[in-house]
Amino acid sequence: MTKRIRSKIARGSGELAILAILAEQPLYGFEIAKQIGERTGGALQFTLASLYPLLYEMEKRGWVEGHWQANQAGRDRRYYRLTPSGKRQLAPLRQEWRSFFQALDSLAGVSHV
Amino acid sequence: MAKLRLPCDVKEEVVSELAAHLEDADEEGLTQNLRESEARSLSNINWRSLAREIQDSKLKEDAMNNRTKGLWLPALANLTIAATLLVALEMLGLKARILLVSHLAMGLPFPWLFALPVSGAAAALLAKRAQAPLAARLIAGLAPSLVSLAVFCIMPLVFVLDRWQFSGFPIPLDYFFLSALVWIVLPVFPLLVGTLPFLRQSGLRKT
Repeated sequence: MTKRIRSKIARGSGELAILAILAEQPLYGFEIAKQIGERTGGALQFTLASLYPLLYEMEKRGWVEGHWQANQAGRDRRYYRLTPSGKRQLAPLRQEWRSFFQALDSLAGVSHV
Repeated sequence: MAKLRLPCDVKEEVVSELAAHLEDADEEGLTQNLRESEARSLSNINWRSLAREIQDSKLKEDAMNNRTKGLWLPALANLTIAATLLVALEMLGLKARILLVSHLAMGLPFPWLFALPVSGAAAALLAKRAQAPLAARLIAGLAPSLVSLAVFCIMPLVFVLDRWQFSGFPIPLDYFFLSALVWIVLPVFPLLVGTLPFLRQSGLRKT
């Protein structure tokens, strides 16, 4: 698999992960990365360098929007929340990944949950 | 990050956000013993590559489209509004004061000059909303004067280069320079009045 294809898959899965986690509640960058890492048992990990370009890209597409707000410690953080357009993206993206894993499973016996 | 080619307010916001992330990561590391891989990933960031990626992600379209939105369209809007105001005020009976210079009539469009801040403000607002840098906002706001300047610069060249018909400067020089004053210099002031409020950078939240 070329690096380009691998990168596209990583990007696509990252988009879904971020949309899914923001569908529950608005979060700021560090919290997004932390929660994704924790909830996937470390299988999906975002670094500063991988998270923000993706977040900004999604913001550019109008899927998420950021606003500054104080966190629990009283420090200003840029919280991201899903836009109506982002909410509309979530279901088709989920379906797309489901189909992808089903196809991979039927081909290579990679079962998905 | 200093080399990020983004509008100043966007750039400062990105830097603030990344700094906040590093701050959180640092605190997390202190309280929960930062995992070695995480610590390594933070120290191994290729900032130049990250800046490029963020720049690509942040810019809404390519540079050409940004220039169109931030400069050319606001400047065109400014010219259109200024021209419309000139015609509309004339039609409303607010005519220019006529002055005789070297036996030639020259209009001093005072009502138009008083209305010009609207035109400058509209252009600067459009440029600011397109996140144009300060220089682009100023140029868009002063567009009518700058176009007049270009016309008045080209005019003598045309007179000089038109060898077949050239027989000296075709209009009196004092009339030419006074016209330049009326159409280039005087509009600068009302245009600046409209433009200046939109030259300030947006306020930023600091972490």
